[in-house]
Amino acid sequence: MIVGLREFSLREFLKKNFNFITGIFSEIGLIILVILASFAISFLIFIINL
Amino acid sequence: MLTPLTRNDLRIIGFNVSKISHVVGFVLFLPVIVAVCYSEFDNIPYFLIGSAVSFVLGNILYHFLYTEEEMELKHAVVMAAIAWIFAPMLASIPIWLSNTTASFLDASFEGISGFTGTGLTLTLDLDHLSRSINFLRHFLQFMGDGVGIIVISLSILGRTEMSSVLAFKGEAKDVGIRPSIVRTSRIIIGIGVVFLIIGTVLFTAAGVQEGLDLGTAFFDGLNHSMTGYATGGFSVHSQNLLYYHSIWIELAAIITMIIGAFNFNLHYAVLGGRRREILKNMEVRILLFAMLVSGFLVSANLMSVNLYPSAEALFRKGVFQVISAQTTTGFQTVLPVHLMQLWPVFSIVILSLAMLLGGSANSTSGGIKMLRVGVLLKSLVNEVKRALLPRSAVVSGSFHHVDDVPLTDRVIRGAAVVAISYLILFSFGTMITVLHGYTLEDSMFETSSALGNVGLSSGITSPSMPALLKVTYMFLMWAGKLEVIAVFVLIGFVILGLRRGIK
Repeated sequence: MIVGLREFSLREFLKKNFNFITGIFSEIGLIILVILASFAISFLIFIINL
Repeated sequence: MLTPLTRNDLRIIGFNVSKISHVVGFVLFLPVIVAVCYSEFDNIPYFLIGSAVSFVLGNILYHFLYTEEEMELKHAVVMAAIAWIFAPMLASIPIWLSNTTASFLDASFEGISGFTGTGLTLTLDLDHLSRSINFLRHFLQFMGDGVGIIVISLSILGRTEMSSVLAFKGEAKDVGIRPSIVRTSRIIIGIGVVFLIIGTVLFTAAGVQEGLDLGTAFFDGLNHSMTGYATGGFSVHSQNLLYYHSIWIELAAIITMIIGAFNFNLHYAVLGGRRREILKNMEVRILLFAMLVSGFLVSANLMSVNLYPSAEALFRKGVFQVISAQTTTGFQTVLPVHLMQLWPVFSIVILSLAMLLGGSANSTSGGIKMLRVGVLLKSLVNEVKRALLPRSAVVSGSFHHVDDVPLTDRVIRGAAVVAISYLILFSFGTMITVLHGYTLEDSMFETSSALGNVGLSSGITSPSMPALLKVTYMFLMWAGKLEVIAVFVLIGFVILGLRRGIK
């Protein structure tokens, strides 16, 4: 019997590491926004030039 | 009065260098596991010899220079300057023995480029390099620049907190995360490992999406994740990330590069629950603003010469190179020959500036750092205010960097000294390169790449480049990693020692 697996609770894990997980999503989320903004800039430059 | 280092000072420095030698021994041993996994048994002796030399040298220094005395700041600064030569030299042993490079000088260049997280390479036939040697090159960047080998060495093997705190300062890092340095080191390693896992998953998924088999996608992904987070820029292919022609791999690279360019203190604050810090932090704002403005300027410039046929190509070539330069990573999706022959000079100058300015302080990136740029810009605004306001008006300022920090003369002076030192070395490197017959823009580009620990190349860095230029770039990579001051301190002590002798 794998005791560790039986005792593992996803809810508890998420609750315990909420700040950590949301922190990672905040950083990656901001970077994705920067990527989108950069692409929008490239797109605008391309359109204007056409 | 200035006093030269005494024999006792040298003993303290040498004793602490011995601990770094032990950790390098461990770093050089780890690729043995990769060699066994991929049945590259011929390479195992090279790693074992490198590892054994490091351990033996470390033990000799440890036993002959053993001391109970604490390090002072001057010891820490000199120790950092010596360690960043010593560790790469040890790491170059397996690279040289395996004939990965043409000479020991080239292997040393590779070692310094690896440990400082630069990414300029003199490796011969990179596309056919064995996996264990390739892993070593990437692992050097992760351990050297990603988690900081000196700090880790002293935190794990050091006896007291004070030595480690000073080592942080000597290595030009100002980590104020926690009062306990061992806990701080664990946090830095922990943050590195978490982002290494995230990066590996992203790169591997992107590789599989592009049709690579899972094993190759994982191996390439792990290596690129290590060098992406360390803002190092080594790649398993001679064409760097251009080899894949994959937007997914490029997006994974952008995410890891920008994460690597964020301040450790910021990571700690955000991952600890202070999520708004990422929007309030002055350094993050300037870094992202600089990326967007540079991206705009380069894209507009490339569009004006009709170099790329679509908005996607503008983003994947122009903006990607800007982000790679600004974060001082060095991942490249344009061939060096295209960069120098097809790209307009204006874009090359923007990339050179981005490399010189760099990412965040106390992160894995190099350059002058955005925190200092922010401090200097704020002080410039204050000076303008002082000129406009009546003489009796008091102008004071502060900036937000994890906490609110007052803008004092000391802070401004510190930022200005580092920025000026970088500009002096940039001029020196550019002049040496121009003297070898290269154009001014090529020379500026390659010099800022070496000094900012970036790794983007205009093609100057190659095994056939003159030996003097190799040594110059090795010096620039070393000085850039130490944020210049430690180098001047070491030179000062050497001159004092030569003049007055060692007592």
